[in-house]
Amino acid sequence: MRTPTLDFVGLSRRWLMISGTLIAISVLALGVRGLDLSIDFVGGNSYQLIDVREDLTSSELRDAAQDAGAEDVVAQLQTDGEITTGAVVRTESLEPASDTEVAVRTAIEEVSGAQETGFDFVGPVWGERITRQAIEALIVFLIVVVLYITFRLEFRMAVASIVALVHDILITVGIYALVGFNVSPATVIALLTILGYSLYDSVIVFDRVKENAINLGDPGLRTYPELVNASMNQVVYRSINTSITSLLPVGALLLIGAQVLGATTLQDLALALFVGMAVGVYSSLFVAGPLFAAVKLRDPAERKRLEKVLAKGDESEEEAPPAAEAPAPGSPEARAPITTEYVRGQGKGGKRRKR
Amino acid sequence: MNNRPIIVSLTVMLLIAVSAGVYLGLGARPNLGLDLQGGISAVYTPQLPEGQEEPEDFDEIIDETIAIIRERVDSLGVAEPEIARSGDDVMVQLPGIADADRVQEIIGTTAQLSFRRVIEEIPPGSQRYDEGPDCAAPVDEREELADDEEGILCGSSDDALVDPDTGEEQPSKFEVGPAELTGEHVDDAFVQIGQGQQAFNVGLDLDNEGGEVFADITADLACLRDQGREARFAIVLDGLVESAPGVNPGVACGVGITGGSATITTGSGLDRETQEEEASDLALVLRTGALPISLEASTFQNVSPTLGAESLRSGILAGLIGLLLVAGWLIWFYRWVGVVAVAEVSMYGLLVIAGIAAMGHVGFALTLAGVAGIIVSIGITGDSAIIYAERIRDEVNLGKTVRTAVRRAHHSAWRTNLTGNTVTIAAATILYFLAVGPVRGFALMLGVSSVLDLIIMYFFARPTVYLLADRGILTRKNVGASDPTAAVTAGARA
Repeated sequence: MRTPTLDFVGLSRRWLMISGTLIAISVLALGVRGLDLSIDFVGGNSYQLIDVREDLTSSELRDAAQDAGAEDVVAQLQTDGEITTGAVVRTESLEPASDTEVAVRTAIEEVSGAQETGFDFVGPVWGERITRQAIEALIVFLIVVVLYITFRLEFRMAVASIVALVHDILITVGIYALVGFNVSPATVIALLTILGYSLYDSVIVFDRVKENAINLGDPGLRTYPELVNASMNQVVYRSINTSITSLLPVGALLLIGAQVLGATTLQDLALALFVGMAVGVYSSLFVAGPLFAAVKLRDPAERKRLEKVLAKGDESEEEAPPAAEAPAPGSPEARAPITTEYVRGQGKGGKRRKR
Repeated sequence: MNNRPIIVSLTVMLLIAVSAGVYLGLGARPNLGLDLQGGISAVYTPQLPEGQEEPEDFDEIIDETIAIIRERVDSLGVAEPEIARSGDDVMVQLPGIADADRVQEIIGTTAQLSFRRVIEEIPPGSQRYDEGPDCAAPVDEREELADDEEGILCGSSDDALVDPDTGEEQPSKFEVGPAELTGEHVDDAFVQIGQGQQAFNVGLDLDNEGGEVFADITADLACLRDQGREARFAIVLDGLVESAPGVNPGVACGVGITGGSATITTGSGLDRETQEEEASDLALVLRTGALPISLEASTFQNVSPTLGAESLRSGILAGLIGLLLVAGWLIWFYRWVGVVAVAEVSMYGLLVIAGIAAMGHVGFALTLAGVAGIIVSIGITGDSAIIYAERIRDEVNLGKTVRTAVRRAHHSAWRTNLTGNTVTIAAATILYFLAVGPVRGFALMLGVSSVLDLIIMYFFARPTVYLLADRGILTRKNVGASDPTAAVTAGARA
């Protein structure tokens, strides 16, 4: 297996268009449709009925709950194949063990013939608090991450990582708004995980860029965009394989979770993870790296270097074509001349690095 | 090359893994959270009576309220109830209980303070001890005494005697009169430094009306005292007699304690520390009674045991399937290094489950969110193996021997991994301290997993791969390096 020679940085415009479109759709969906927030954020009661009558209908449940005094009722049946096995009823926030609440619970238990009932109550203020705490945690986390990456790698890398992260979260949330998936605390947990993954991915790409930066100016690594591109090619297998090994267990969770009645937590979590990680794979390769290269070019020294190489490139097509045109930098074709001898020489380059 | 350190570290890691296996084999299992075993889990938020402002000692009053709730819940005989405070909130976890209405009643009822006259103290073992309420019965099944009734109440279990036969606590019982003064008339109660033998007292301030009633009671009691009869009043909080002080010889019959303030001496004859403790306990009881906080449910979750068991089963199943799929992929893609990666991931699974089981001894319970965290972490552990494998290939591609390559590759892969995991650990720590509920469980698992990942990579993967490389099991070919001749061809083309 050889290091692949894909052109990530050169095609920045294309990625920008794809990401831009996705984000625009997400923001639009968010604005128009909004998110379907679970009772944990807005307050409310939720009843899980297990082993219900097979011929139960959701309108029966809704009517029963409304007759008992609930106002805002949503009833959903859960099926295993053709057979109705369970149901979920959501109402507005009713104090547990209050008269209305007991009446509603008894009514839906009776009409459904449920063998067991689980229920959740979330007070109206609690949801606000949870949401606020999550946002606080997020802000603190982002600050810490920016500081850490700046200290460990480079400030511009921190910025690029955060942009990639916001990109992932926006698109995931957008998909949620578009499809109308329910957003529960499990979803929030999943979003936080995605955030971790997205950063982890960006950090690994940038770590390689930094390591290779010593050889900046070498054949194939003449300009910063080339350097970033070559580094990304070196980690592309890792990115893809990591995504696969991460998606496999999550996929299993999604599949199994879907089979289980009412195990909505697992399902919510797996769904958000699946969507988010898939977006994350894309962004770590096509957003963070190219963006960093673009930001880095704002540095006058790097711009000068690029211009110099570009000018040279005009004279002889053979040597280091500009990044935007194929063949891609880092490819054996561009990395002239490669022989076993030369590669071995690179090995000795370790000494040179220490200089 | 000196192999000793790597063999030592490999042996230690394997020993740890084996002991984890044995620990689990001997039947150690993680504590399960309520969402996995069924039961009631709720968060209560204290509510002040309307129009009241938060007092300075709100903190202590919440603690005392929690203590009262704990006493009530304990009387229910739930296997392992957990009542803990988190900020101003009270977290209640009651495994294996399904009667939501009963729990709501027990926890949601406000504790009331009253002063009643003691008619007779009934110590355990005396003839009349069988009368009155059963002090070991659940709170909500004990007969209640209305404010205007007289009857028998249980004493606080703080100074109860233990029945030598049954091991049951047997507090004294008190036959008491109707409530003459209630908590709302108490303005304040505080610890005072006393004089002479009595180092600490409790000062009690009553409002105007309370002061008058109190003077009447004590005037009567002083007369009874002079006649040599029972002359004490009981301080009753939440149906339990917390203290039953008498009236000092200095208080005259028919006059009583006037002016709306009194001093209650506690624990005479005890050492200073115990005296102070008793005094501050009583003062807190009085202040809590003066400010009856009600606990209002913020969230209330009643998980059916079927659902819990089902969730657990599907979580385990998903984890195992995920593990198998990841293992298959890694071995197919990375061959020998993949086998090491699978060993890493399996070791992670073993250590994390044994670790959770061990943490169960300090009260940690595995929740659904935690299960999800573990499953997600399979990916993280797989990732560190992938980074290493990729690095080895890169180095070999650069023309190094496999033996040299695995060492150089470890050096850089470790650095990368450390950076990545630091970010994850930072995220987990921040989430753990700032978030509540399920997010916390998830964050903890994520943090623990990241640390485990680093340990396994350094002390297990590294030595194993080194040994495999030194023994010649890893070759240029099976680490997936490109054929050297291919490079020559490419070079010739250029």
